[in-house]
Parts: sequence; structure tokens; C-alpha cells
Amino acid sequence: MRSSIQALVWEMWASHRRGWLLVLGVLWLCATLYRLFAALIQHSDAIQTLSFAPMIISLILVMAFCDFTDRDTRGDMAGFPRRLFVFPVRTIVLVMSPMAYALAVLTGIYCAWAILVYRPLGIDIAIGWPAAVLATGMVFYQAIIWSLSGFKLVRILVMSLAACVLVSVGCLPWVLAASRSRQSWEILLGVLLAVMSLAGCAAAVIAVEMQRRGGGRGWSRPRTVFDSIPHAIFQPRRAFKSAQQALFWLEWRRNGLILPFTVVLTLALIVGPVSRINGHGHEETLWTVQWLAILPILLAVPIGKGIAKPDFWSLDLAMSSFMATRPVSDGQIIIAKMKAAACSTLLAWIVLLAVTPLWLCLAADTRDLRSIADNFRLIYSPISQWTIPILMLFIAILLTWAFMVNSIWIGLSGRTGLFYSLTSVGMTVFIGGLILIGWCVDHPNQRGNIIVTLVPYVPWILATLFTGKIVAAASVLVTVHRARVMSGRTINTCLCVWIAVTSCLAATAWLISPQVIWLRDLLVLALILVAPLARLGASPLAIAQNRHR
Amino acid sequence: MVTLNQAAELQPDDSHHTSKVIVELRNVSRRFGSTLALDDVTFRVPCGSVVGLVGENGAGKTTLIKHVLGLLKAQSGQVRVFGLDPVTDPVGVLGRIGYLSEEPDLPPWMRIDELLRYVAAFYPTWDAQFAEQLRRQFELDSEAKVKQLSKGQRSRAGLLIALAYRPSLLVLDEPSSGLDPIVRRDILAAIIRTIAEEGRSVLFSSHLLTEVECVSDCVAMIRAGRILFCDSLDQIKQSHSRLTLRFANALSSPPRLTGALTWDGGGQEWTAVCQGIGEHLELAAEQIGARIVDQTPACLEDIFVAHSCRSLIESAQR
Repeated sequence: MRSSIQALVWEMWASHRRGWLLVLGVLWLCATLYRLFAALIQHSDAIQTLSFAPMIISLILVMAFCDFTDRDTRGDMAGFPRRLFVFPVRTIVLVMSPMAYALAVLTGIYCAWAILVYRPLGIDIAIGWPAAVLATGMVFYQAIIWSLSGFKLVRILVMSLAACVLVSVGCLPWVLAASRSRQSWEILLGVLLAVMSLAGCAAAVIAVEMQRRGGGRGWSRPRTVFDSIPHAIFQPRRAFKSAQQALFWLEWRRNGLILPFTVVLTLALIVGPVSRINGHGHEETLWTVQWLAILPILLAVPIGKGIAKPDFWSLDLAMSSFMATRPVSDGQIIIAKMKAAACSTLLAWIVLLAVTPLWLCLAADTRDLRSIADNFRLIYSPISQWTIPILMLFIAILLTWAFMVNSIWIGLSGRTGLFYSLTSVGMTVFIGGLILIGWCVDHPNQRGNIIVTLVPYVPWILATLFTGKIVAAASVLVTVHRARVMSGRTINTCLCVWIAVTSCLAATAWLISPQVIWLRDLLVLALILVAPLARLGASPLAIAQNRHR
Repeated sequence: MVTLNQAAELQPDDSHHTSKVIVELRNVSRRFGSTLALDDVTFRVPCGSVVGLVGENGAGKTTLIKHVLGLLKAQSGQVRVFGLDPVTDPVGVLGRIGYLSEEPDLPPWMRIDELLRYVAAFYPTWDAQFAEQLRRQFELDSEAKVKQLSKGQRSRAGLLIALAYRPSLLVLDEPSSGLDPIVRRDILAAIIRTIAEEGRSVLFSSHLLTEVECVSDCVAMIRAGRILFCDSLDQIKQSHSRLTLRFANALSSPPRLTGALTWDGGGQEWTAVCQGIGEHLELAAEQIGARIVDQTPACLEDIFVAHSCRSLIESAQR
């Protein structure tokens, strides 16, 4: 290496070599595939919208690869690599080299997508203004991640706020286009972005310089106050009565508030501002309520992936020797995780159920909702009118919990490759499902044909899935019992709970379904599939594999 | 040199503790990819004894200890701790073992008081008074978080939670690596206290051979996944000696002497660390035309270095 800047840039490239190749590979693949299926993309708005997903994912990956931080597991923090502080290089060089590299790569990759992938399709997306917003975002991201090392939650909060500000500024030229041309707004706001970026750079340099002088953790006072909050909330007041109670406390203390906190954050930073911008009309209210109804379920999907790991914040799936050497059975660890996930789910729903009626009463136009309620009253009997909403809420809570614990069987197995591969496959299926829905929305005529074609197969598909589920669950539970990972009594209790839950689901399906008997039966069968059994049963085996490698 | 199995047979019958075996590994092998980490290891820890495990980095000490704790499953062979399989019965085994590793991975966000309350829940024999006494002795602030502790303090915290329930077996994996003499003294004191309490045993690995020499009843040396020797410390010292030989003519290369592990020196005078009984060595020296001018007992460090070098030479020759 000829210079320190070159060495730093090389480190950023080399530490994520495979990642960079992946990003470039996706870019090349999309450029090829999009040209092959150009007609399909050009004629469907939904597919065109979804075609931006790989670009967004690759830009997120670029940001992740450019974070340039070292994890200090001992200090439980991630920040600017302290090992670089001993090099005879000025702090401004240490900070600005990775920043300049990240800016160049991020804007370069964005421009490559716009020019090489979308322009040949005739989709003329803007280059200058989004690139400027992205560059500012990168500066903010690095400045925040380096300055607030050791403040995990505060960092997420500040980053979310910064993202909201940037998205708002990014949308302004379009919003304000009526008063002045978009280009002139872009120039004006570009100056603002430049000032913000310079401020971000300066903040990063100052923070790293402070850290280099040993005062980086000089946030000791606010940090002490911030640290004392979880301690005050979670501190065990007296000795634990049992190991199970201690395990639950640990799980709740580490992961319990993540879902409720994320729900609050999403309500405050996304749903609130968006509904404020859209207005509180009757249509918007209905739209917002629909999103609110599935918010915890949607959030549980990514959060569940984190909770499934031995440590939420770590990429390493190996169990710590501290946990592995506690004299508890593998089943007890799993039960503690499930209990904590259940409490977390309940708390998230309580928050949502407290906020939504308040908002509906105070600000929203509930005309559409009232009309739906009136229709509901006409269709169902008085008993069903009370039972169905309660059971629907129960299903929503159950689904949220299921997503929270569904991945435990693989996350706790310690198989990093398998875990991340399955997660990627899950995401691909999810995006594929969205593309299919998008296609169906755009093609109402063909949609009808597809439904008519698929309907005869649905009972067979559901029956096969149900049989597979029962067979898999039986074999897993027999293995668990034979391996003595869980006692027969615990297995029986779990089975009883599953049967009770499944009965509730079947009852709900029975109550809400139409009078067509075959459709009702299908709905019952579909809802029975919701309650997890085999995967939960496999969890103790997975943890045994991780604990006794 | 007697093997461990022979050593176990040599245990005096009148001692109840030492005749009972707490840890037993029988023909245990373990492979990580192409690396053979443990190669047909047979090893025992008798009740009431302190067994020191020595070996170079990567020799297989930690792998062996992890098999004892059930953190690794033997690919072949059998592991028994208190007569139980640590993999199938972790509750029965781990409830009686106190474990401290080189870098105790305690949850960084926990406060010391939280850590003590948390760990206490797992052990019915947890002695709260003893824990408090140790906390004060180790000068650990109960409100300090684990992440705020220095390496030495962290080791002390790990030692505290390993000792406070008075485990039947204390397993220490390189407990004093990189620690200052005060913390090392605490760890040694803990080992001594554990021995003093009747029926308790200690298995510990260390690079610090003076420590091993100081507290061990038995020493096992492991190299490339194999137990090179395992015997009582006295027996090991008696069977090794440092010899200085004088030859009539100067030699350009080390002489061949039965029992010699390593050679040092040149010309007419050569020094060797030898394994064998004194009379036999004298005879062997005469046979190669040398005279023993000095013979001193070898210290554990000499023996360790000699066996390591010997193994290196042998593997190079192969």
C-alpha cells in the first residue's frame, strides 16, 4: 500500500469482498433479466414497483458493508475501529477515508442501477437528487454509528429520526413543485443537504477524535442515566424462586421490549406522520386501521429472526459458554424464550389496542368503519358479534407470537449458514408472493381464471400440508422424548396447549366462514395450519445441537 | 513412565476419595474438519485430587475440558462425569461443576448483583453468605456492570460464580492467562480452598507451569490431541532428570542416548533432559563413551519443553 488512505480503502473493500461481489452480481443479473422480461415489467405497474426491490436491497447492503465498525463484545458496543487509533494518521484522514469511499460506492451503485438497469427499460428515474439524498444518508449513518457507539437503542432511535428527516427532505421537491420548479427546489435543498452532510462529517470527526483521546465514552452522565432505566424496570427485586424464573427474566430483560418498542416507534415515526400527511378522511382511516391490524404481525417477522438467535444483536449463533454451562435442560431454555415472546406479543398488542381507539375517537373519520360494523351486525348473530372479534384478536396475537418463535428451531441450532439461507429463502418467497399479488391486481380477468383453476387443488394442498405437519410433529416429538430433551409431562402439556389453541382457531373459522360447507371446511383446515407444532417441537433438539456440538 | 490407567491402579486402596473417579474419558476422539483435536484420549480425574492439564496452544486442552462439560459431544469413546453423561444429563452434571474459562463470557449488560441473583437460581447449594464474602474479598462493586470491569475483575466475577455453590468439581480452563499476580493468587487460593474442602476435585489447564507445580497432585500433558503422560507430580519429577555429559572428544551433533528427550550444548559437553531412572542413565552414558558430570532433578517446565521439542522432532522425522 502506498498510503494510509489506500490501506483504509482496501480494508473496506477486502472485509466485505463476497458482499461486494454479491451486490455487483445482483446488479448484473437484474440488468440481464429485466431486459429479457422488459415487456412484462413495462406493462404492469405493480411489477414495475416491485422491480425496485433488488435495487433497494442492494443499496441497504452497501450501507451495511460501509458501516466500518468493529464489534467489542467485551464492552458490548460497536463503533469506529479503535485498533486504528494507534496508527500515525490524523483523525480527519481516518474518518474521511471510509466516508469518501462509502459515498463513492453508494452513489456509484445507485447510478449504475439507474443507467444500466432501468434506463434500457424506458424507466427514467432521477439520478442527481436521489444520489445527493443517499450520500447525505450515508454520512448521517456513519456519523451516528461512530458517535453513539455503546448506545444501541438511542442509536436506532436517532437513526430512525434521521431517516424520517431525510425522506421528508427527499420528497420536498415533488411536494413543493407547485410553487416553483422541481429543479430549482432540488438546487435549493441540495445546499441544505450539503450543509447537513458537512455537519455530519464534522460531528463524526469530533466524536472519533474524542474517542481517540480516551474521552469517547465521555457521555458517561447521560449514559449512566440511560443505563439505569432498564435496570430500574427489570431489576429482580428478590431472589428467583427457580431456574425457570431466572431464565425467563434474562430473556425478558434482553428481548422483551423490542417488539412493543418497535410498535411504538413505528406508530410515532411512520404511521402517525403518514396518516397526518394523508389526512384523516374515512378512506384513509380504513386504510390506516388495516395497516395497524397487521402491524405487530409484520414487525414480528424480522424481530422473530433476531429473537431466534442466542443473542439478538449478534451475528454469531453459537451459544455462550455462560448459558451453555448452566444446569438447566434444553427444554427449559426454549420454554423461557417462548414465554418471553408471548409476554412481548401481548404487550405490543396492548400498546396498539390502547393507541388505536384513542386515535379513532379523537381524530379519525370512522364512517367506513361504522358501515363495516353495521354490515357485520346484519350478517352475524349477537353471540357471534362478540365472539368473532375476540377470536380474531386471539388469532392475530397467536400469529404474532408464531412469527416471534417460528425460527427458534433453526436460530438456536447454531448453524449460521442454514439460518441465513433459510431467512433469504423466506424473504424471496415473501417478495415472490408480493409480485404474484401485484400481478393479480393488474390482471383482473386472468385473476378470475387463475382462481378457478387453482380452487380444485386447494383442498389437496391444504390436506397435504396438514398431513405433513402432523407427521413431522409426531416424528419430532418422538425424537424429543427419546433424546430425553423434554420430559413426557412437558410434551403432554405442550400438546394440550396446541390442541386448545387449534380448537379456538377451528371455532373461529367455523363462526366467520360462509354457509358454503366445503369453503368452511377449507378455512378450518387452513387455520389449523397456523399454530406451530413441529418447529416448536424441534427447538429443544436444535438447542441441544448448539449446546453439545 | 506409567500411564494414567496404570496410575489409577496404583492409587492406595485405603483412600476412599482417590479410589473414586469423578471424570472419566475413555478412548475419546474428536475431529474438527481435517484436524484431529482429540485422538483416542483416555483420562481420569480421581475424587479429591487436583489434576493439572498442560500443553501447547492448540494441543487439545480446551477441547478435552469442553467434553467434560458436555459442550462438545465425543465422536467416539465415552465421557462420564460423576458417572453421568454430560451431554444427555447436563442438569445432573453441570449442577455439580464450577467452571471458569480464560475469557468468562458473562453477559456484559448484567450488574454484579443481578449476575449473582441470576446464577443463584440454578444451584440449590448456592451459599449467599459465601458469595457475599467472596464479592467483598474480590472487591467487586455490586452495582458495576460486567462490561465496566477490567479483565482481572471479570475473571474474579467468573470465579465467584463458579465457587459460590461449592461445586464438587472445579474446572478451570487457562484461568490465569494474562492476569496480574494478585488475581492469579486469588485463583490459586480458590483451588487450595477447594482442595481443603473434603471430597472436592479440581481439573485445570494452564500455561503457567509454576502454578501447576504449586497445586497439582497429578499432571497430564497433552500434545496434538494425545495424552503424552499423566502421572502424579512426584512420579513425573522422579522419572526425569537434567544430565550434563562430558565426552572425551568433541561432538558435532547431539549424541544418541536412550531416554534423552532434548539436547543442549556442543563440543565435549552436552546437557540433556532425560526420562528414566538414574542407574539406567549412567549405564547408557557409559555405553556412548560419556561421563555424567552433573545430574539434577528436572523442573516441570524443563520436562514440558523437553517433551514438546521431542514430539516436534518426531513429527518432523515422520
